Parts: sequence; C-alpha cells; structure tokens
Amino acid sequence: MKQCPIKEMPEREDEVRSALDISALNVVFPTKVGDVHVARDVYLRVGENESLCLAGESGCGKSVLALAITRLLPKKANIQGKIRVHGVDILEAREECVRRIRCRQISLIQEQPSLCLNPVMNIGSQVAEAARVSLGYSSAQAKRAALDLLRRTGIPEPKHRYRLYPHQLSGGMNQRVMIAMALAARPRLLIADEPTTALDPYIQVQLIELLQGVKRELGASLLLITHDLDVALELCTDVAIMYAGQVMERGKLERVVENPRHPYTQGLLRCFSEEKPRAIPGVSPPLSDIPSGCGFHPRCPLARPECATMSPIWRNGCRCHL
Amino acid sequence: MRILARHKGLFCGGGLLLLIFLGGVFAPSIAPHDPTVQDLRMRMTGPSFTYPLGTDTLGRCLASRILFGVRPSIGLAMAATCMVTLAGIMVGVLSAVFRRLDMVLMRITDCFFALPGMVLALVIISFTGPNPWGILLALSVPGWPKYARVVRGIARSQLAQPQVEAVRCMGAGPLYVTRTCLLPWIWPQVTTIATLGIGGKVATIAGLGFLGLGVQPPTPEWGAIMYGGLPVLGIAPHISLFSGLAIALTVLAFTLVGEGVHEAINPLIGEDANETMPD
Amino acid sequence: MTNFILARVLALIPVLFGISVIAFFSLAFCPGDPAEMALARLMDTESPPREAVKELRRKLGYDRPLPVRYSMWLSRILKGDLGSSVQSGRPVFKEVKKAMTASLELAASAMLVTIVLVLGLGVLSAVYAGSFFDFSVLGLSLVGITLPDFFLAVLGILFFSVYLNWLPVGGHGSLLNLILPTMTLAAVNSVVAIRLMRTSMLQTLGSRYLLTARAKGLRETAVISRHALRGALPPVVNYLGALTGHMLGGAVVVETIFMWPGIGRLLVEAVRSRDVFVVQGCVLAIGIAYVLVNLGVDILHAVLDPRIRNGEEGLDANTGKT
Repeated sequence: MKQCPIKEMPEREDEVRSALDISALNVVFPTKVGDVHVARDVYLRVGENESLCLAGESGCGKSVLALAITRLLPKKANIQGKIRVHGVDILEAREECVRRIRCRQISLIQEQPSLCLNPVMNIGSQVAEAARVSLGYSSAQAKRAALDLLRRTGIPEPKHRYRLYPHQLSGGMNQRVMIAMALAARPRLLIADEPTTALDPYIQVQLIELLQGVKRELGASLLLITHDLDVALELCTDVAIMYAGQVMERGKLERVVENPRHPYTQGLLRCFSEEKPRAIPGVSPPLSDIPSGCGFHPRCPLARPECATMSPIWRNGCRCHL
Repeated sequence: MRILARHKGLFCGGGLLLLIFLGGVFAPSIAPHDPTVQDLRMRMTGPSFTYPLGTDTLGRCLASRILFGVRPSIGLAMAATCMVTLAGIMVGVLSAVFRRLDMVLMRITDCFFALPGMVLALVIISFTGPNPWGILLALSVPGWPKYARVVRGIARSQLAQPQVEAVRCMGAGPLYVTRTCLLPWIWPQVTTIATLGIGGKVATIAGLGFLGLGVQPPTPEWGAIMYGGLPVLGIAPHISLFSGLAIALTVLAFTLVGEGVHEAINPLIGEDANETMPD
Repeated sequence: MTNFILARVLALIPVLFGISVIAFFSLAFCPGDPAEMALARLMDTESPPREAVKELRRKLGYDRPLPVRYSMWLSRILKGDLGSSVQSGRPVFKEVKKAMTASLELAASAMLVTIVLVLGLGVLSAVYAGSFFDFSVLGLSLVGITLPDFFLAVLGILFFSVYLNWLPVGGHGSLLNLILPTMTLAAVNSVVAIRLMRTSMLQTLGSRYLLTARAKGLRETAVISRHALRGALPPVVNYLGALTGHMLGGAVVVETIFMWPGIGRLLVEAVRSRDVFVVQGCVLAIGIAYVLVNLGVDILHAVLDPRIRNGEEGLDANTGKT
C-alpha cells in the first residue's frame, strides 16, 4: 500500500492504535433557511478490531458522520474538527491521498443497495472496478478477484450472476454485492450505514452473519450506523447514542443497555423493551432548529431549568446535567 | 408584479406576439407602401426614410411586404394547429378507449413518424399543388400523429384511475367520461404542445415558401422573400436578413409563450415534459 | 438481447408496409398522368395523341383496381425497378441512390460535429451547473432553438462566404463544400440535444450510485465519465438517433440553400416538376432509411441501458420507482 505523504505526529500513544478518532467535529450546512448544524461537538473513537455502533433516530445526523469520515460530503458543508483514520488526518490531507485511502483503508456500505449500484453496469464489473482501482489489478485479475469476492459474500453461481444487472437482483443480493465491493482491498475500517434497513428480516439475519464473518476475517474495525439496536447487539461491542447532532452517551454496549445513564437512552431503550414499549413523547427536532442548551430538554422527563440554557458537558460517559 | 418577474419568458414572448399580431391585423393601415407596387428604379436599396427596411429585387417595400406576410404565415399556422389538435385529440381518445382500434391507429402513426414532416408536406403539396388548402393539409397531416400519441398516453393513464370506474358504475356514458375525466387532463398538455408547435408550423410554412411550394406570389410570404434575397445576398443582404429575422422572431415568440404556458401549467399537473421533436 | 432485436425487426414490417402505401399513393394520386408525361417526352411533343396515351395506360395497368395496381407496383419495387424519371429519363433507382449517398455524407458529418458539441458542452455545463459557462450555454441554446435552420444557413453564408470569403457558397465536391451545411445542421441539431444532455446529466449527477463510485476511490473524472455519463446517455442517444433519421430527407431546405445534391433536394425538384416516379422513389428511400436508422438506435439504446431489454421501463435511479 502506498503511504500517504502527509502523516501527522500522533499526540497520544494510543491514538496510533485507534482505527478511527473523531474529536470536536462540527458540521454545518449553510442553507436558505439558515445554518443547519448536522453534527455538534462530536467525539468518537473506535479502536483496532473494535466495533462501535452509532445509534439514534432518523435525522439525527448519523449518516453525515459516515460521509464526513470519507470526506464525501458536498463542498458547501462547513467541517471543523479532527478526524483521524489510522493516524491520518482526513480533513487536512490532500484529495489524492484521501481518494487512495477510500476503499483501501476505509470502506463504506450504504443502505438501499439497489440504488447505490450503477444500473447500467453489470454487478461483476462494478466489483471488479473496486478491485482494479484500489489494488491496481489488470482487468483479467480484477475479474478473477471479483468472482472470488462474490463467492465469499455468499452469492450463488457467481459466474452467472457476474453479468447480471442490479435491477435483476433482490435487495439482499445487492447488499452482498456492496459488501463484496467493500472488501476488495481488505480495508481495516468498515463503515456500515444502515446496511440492513429496508430488507426482509430473514435477509437481515443472513447479512448480519456475513458482516460478522467479514469482520473476523479482515480483523477490521467496524462503525455500524443504525437505529436498530438488535442488529447492534449482534455486531458491536461499544455504542454511541446520537441525538440532534450530538453524542449523548457513550460506552460499552452491554453496560449502556443494562444501565443507561442519559434520559434519552433510557427513553430509547424503553421503546425496545419487550414488556411495555413506550415511545418518547414529542418528536426529534429538525436539525435546522435545535433547542438551546441540551438538545433533548423539551422531551426530557427529568429536565431541570439549567438544561434549557446551558449546554451540558461530558461527564461520566454521558452528556447530561444529572 | 411578482408574477411578471417569475414568468418573464411568457411575458416577453406574449408581448412580442402581440406586436406581431397587431402588425398583421393592421397591416393595411401601418404599412408605408402597397406591398405589390414595384419601383424598379429603387431596386435593392437599403433601409432609408421612405423605405424603412429597404426594397427587394423588384423595388417593392420590404417593410410592407413583411408586415403583410404576417397574415398568411400565422393564419395558416394557427388554422393548421387547430385542425391538428382536434384531430389528434379525437384519435387519441378513441385509441385509448377502443383497444382494437388502438393497434391499427398506432401502427398508422408509426408510419407517419417514419417520414420527416417536411417530406410528408412536400408529398401532399405534390398532390394538391401550392394553394392555401394544400398548405393547410401539408401542415396538418404530418402533425397529428404526435398529438394523437400524447393524448393517447394521457387518456390511457387517466382511464386506469379508479375515478373512471366509479363514474362508469354510476352509469356514465363515454361522452361524459371523456368530458369530465379525460379532457381536463388533456387540455394543459395539448395546449403546451400546440403553442410550441405553432412556431414549428410557421417555420414549415416559411420553408415551403422558400422552396417555392408554399404561399404563391403576389401574396408576400417570408420564406419566399428570403429565397428571393439569396442570389443578391452580397449586395442586398437586408432582404434575406429581415425576412429571416421576421420568421425567427415569430418562432421565438411562440416558443417563449409555449414554454411559459408549460411552466405555468406544469406545477398543477406534475408531469414530465415531452421533448420537442423536430416537426 | 436477440429476442429484443427480433421483436423490433418484426415491428418494422407494418411500418414498412405503411411507407410503401404512402409511396404508392404518391404515385397513384399525383395529378398529372405519368403515361401522358412519359409519352410527351418520348415523342417530344406537348400533347401526345389520346390513343397512344390510352394504350400505354392499359399496358401499364393503370385501369386496374387499386389493390391490383399496388401489388404490381410492389413486385416491381422489390425487383429494384423504380421506374424512370419523367424529366431526365434516367432510372430512378440510380438517382435516388446517388442522392441518398450525398445526404448520408452530410448527415454523418453533421452528426459527428453534433456529438462532439453535445458531449463537450452538454456534459460540462451539467458538471459546472450554475456557473457562467452554464448560463452562456443555456442562453446560446435558447437562441439556437428559435432560429430556423435556413436562417442560420443564410447567416452562415453571409458571414463566411460573402464577407470573409473563406468558404464556397454551395455545391458538392470538396471538403470545403461540406463545412457550411454541416455546421448549420449541427448547430440546429445540437441546441436541443445539449439541453437534453445537460438535463439528463444533472439527473444522473444526483444519483446515489455516484457516491458508491467515489467511495470506491475513483477519480472524479472517472466517476463522471464512466458512471454518470453512461447513465445519462440513453435518452440523448435516442434523440440524436431520431434526429439522424430526420436529417435524411428532412434537411430539404438546407440542402437547397447550399445546393447539396441530397435526397431532400431531389424530392423538391421532383415535386416541382411533377416527376412522380422520382417522388415515389424518394419517399421510399427516406422512409426505409429512417426505419433502419431507428432500428439501429433502438438497439444501441438497449445496449446502453440494459433495463429496457426485457421490456421494462427504465427505473429512476434516485427513487427506485419506475
């Protein structure tokens, strides 16, 4: 793998070892209705061979993080902060460098796979393209590699399906194709953005198993973005809960599920509880109009006067005044 | 005032069109000279005080000829468009309602699509000769398939709606269904295409006139004037230029109005535009 | 794919039949008696004797019912006998062939220039949408749409032949003769096609599969040319194909102005001189040419967009809906 010419000196020892390190990230989109703060003061860390689940409701800014890490956000987005992948500062690096990092070190798996594949190219050549670009294979080598990848992701009759088009395959198959593309260069960081949403539950189980296998085989770190905590429980060890663009709670998944500290997490888990699922009253705010102070205070059952005015600081794995 | 700014294309085109219309209607009063009177001493002179746009190869006042040329061009174009629209709507609706007829009619329209409009027009002129009725036919016959196709498409998608079944269950006859369920959806699209199409027909009339197979002299016709100016393009370019400009401006006006109508109507329907095919 | 082609070819037959009927009608219903005109030329007199005309009409079968005449005519046509020109006496087949070749020449060169313009201006103005370049392209194309082809031709002649004296006014023979008519036709063709390409590209540029392509590490130029462009091509190809067919015969006025001996001009001359056999031959040739070109375009379209091969309508890449 070609080394990227820019390499920041790590500030702390363990930063070198973390696959993904986000600090003080702020993402703002200037729009006609005003500035939209999609991510506010986000801190995240995924260590080597670890797996973090980024959970939250739709519209809380999770997908934006995935795009920010790979620097695929539109140009008008205003990004501040630091994102480090294996020690490389993504936001400061040259475009050429980031391009090489994509797919060689970071891979992105998206939701709605049928829309994420080029409809006029057959799936085999799309996978082969990933192999060709990231590993510098020739066409013949890339085709062989693509066939191998298709087989490894559990697509039956890879030789026949190589020539098929995305609209001829089911959603689950297409997602396997996406995963095959993501694996091409054996990346060390996998970002999966809602990989199983919009697919049948039966397919979801299969894909989860596939992802587990992939993660094991590559020894890669995983950043799983989802609103489905069941999927998270299968795949991840850590969790970060996001609400209105901020990370509200962070910690080991088991701990958080057993003993949630933040009122939002508590409410969220109540939604999933088997005995008496109860929704959190109200709706999550649009990112263009976030309440002042703690973003959750209008819906928080334990809100106190200072929650409305002061932004809570990070304390004890949780961002709350309590 | 805001409506004006939003639909500036429509208003520019509309204004231009109004001017052209008025010029044509009031041509006898506005024109500086009789368009047929020749003054052989003043042949091919450029724009001057007496002759605002100059004279043609026979010494006739170009401005007058162009003004009088509005009538045949636009008159025939609009008449043909009316014919084509009616024919197209009829065929399209019939085609959508009666499936067996549909097969036959669609094959027929395919044949018409296979020949460029100008070619069909020429063939028709070869039957009828270059008289106004012939020109009318020559403009209409190539045009109706497109309207029929579009109307058929709209009618078919509307007929598949549940409202139609409901109305039919209540005992509505085909005329009622057509009037209430189909026509409201057909009018907007057809109006758009028709307005855009008039421009094409003006161009076709001019083309036929240019080839000598359109409106015959002594009636002034822009295409014919332009053709007359070609041999003397070097010494008297104003003849072909001004007549050509008249054609171009008229087409522009209709196109702007057509696009403006299209934009204004579209938000109500939410359907995609048909690309304008060469007529 | 072969099924698709077969189906298309079969669908041609009724159209060809229709064209032949139109051609036959142009022969049968044209005022003026071909027998009389042929005899007039042969005998070199204005009004040949009645008896001779009647005799010739009986011999040629003009007194038989229409369907019989049609089948007689059809059998002659299929043998390649299109009759002889009333004016010149030369076989129509040869004249039509010569004229069609000339038209093909013009159409081919005009299409070449059009493709270059469309790919260049259309794609670039979509990629740099909203820029000054984009506005100028849009403005120019609006002007171009409204100017009829013969006006542009006259302007071209005025400028390049009369004032600058660079190019000949018309005629056929050298490359220089080709330039003005080509540019005129190309200008007329490209204006709508450029807008179409731009719209199509803008639609594809918003597709999600482009994100996948970028995430794979592809260079931006590759993303645009290999992924976005391929998705945007089908409707443009369709339109340009129809335009090509249209030029073979529809470019009458341009051919007349530039004295280009194409089939459109041949048709006009024939109509003017009531040369019915030539008219019929032209109609046949133009119709068949258009049908064949359309077939080619349909096949090309299916190659570029596999979604239509099975008879499905194209899927919208953004919403996944038809």
